[in-house]
Amino acid sequence: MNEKLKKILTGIASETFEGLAFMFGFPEDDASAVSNEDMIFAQVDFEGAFSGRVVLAVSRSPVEELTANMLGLEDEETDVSPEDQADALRETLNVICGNLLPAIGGKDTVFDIHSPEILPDATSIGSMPEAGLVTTARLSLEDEPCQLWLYVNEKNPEALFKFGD
Amino acid sequence: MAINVLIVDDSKIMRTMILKTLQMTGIPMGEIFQAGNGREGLEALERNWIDLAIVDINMPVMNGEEMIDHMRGNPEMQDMPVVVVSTEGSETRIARLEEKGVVFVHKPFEAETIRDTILDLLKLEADDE
Repeated sequence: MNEKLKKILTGIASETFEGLAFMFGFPEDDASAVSNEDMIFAQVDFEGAFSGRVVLAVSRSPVEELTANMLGLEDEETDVSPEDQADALRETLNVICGNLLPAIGGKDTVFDIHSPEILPDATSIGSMPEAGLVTTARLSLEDEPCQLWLYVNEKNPEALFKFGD
Repeated sequence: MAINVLIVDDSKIMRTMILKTLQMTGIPMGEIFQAGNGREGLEALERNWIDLAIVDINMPVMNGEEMIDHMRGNPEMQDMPVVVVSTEGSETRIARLEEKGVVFVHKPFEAETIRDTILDLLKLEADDE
């Protein structure tokens, strides 16, 4: 697993949670599997210099806070609908993916990002022929796990990445 | 003078974030219209007097770049100020958008960036009171 790529993905995810919702995500080295039951999964596909998918899983309680913060709700009115939570997670993933691709593929490279979608559970992550998991990142978001996976549809994806030392 | 604004983004939550940001800028707001894609955005522009459009790029049905192309090809909309608020990171695509006379703001954005961009675009004075 590429450590530099992992650092970039972790940093962009942290900046996105902070920038969108004033939430702070701290890198975690915990490699244990996330629990499907307590997580909400979302994925987004992209095409361009290389194609692939980013998957995001976040525990339910931080998603409620993420949504309330994005909507600018006060503490006493944090009852957010499942539809708004799904929208918040999709938009968060969209921003993570949109910032990740130029960081790893180069700022002069054009990528098309598809509409993010919410998945019922981890087993619904679509199959990607020839796709390889190139990195994963784990954050602690409000003391709950948050995990990202980057898949790229290339046999030798690292040859396509452009990022400085 | 209050300005009428159109917000075009397929995410309702992002439209709400932009709306709340506009309300915090101190810029006098008139009516604020919302659309979920470029097609709906063009329909809103045809039906209403709008001073400024804030447009996302990645949207279903009709994306933001196609919407801007339609606007620039329509004499009644071709000079309308447009702010693109998007995650787009390709300098190539941003340059192409800027050639169409739009100003680009990157997501996630800060309220001050939106305020300063609109003030500059509409040549308005800041009201910090």
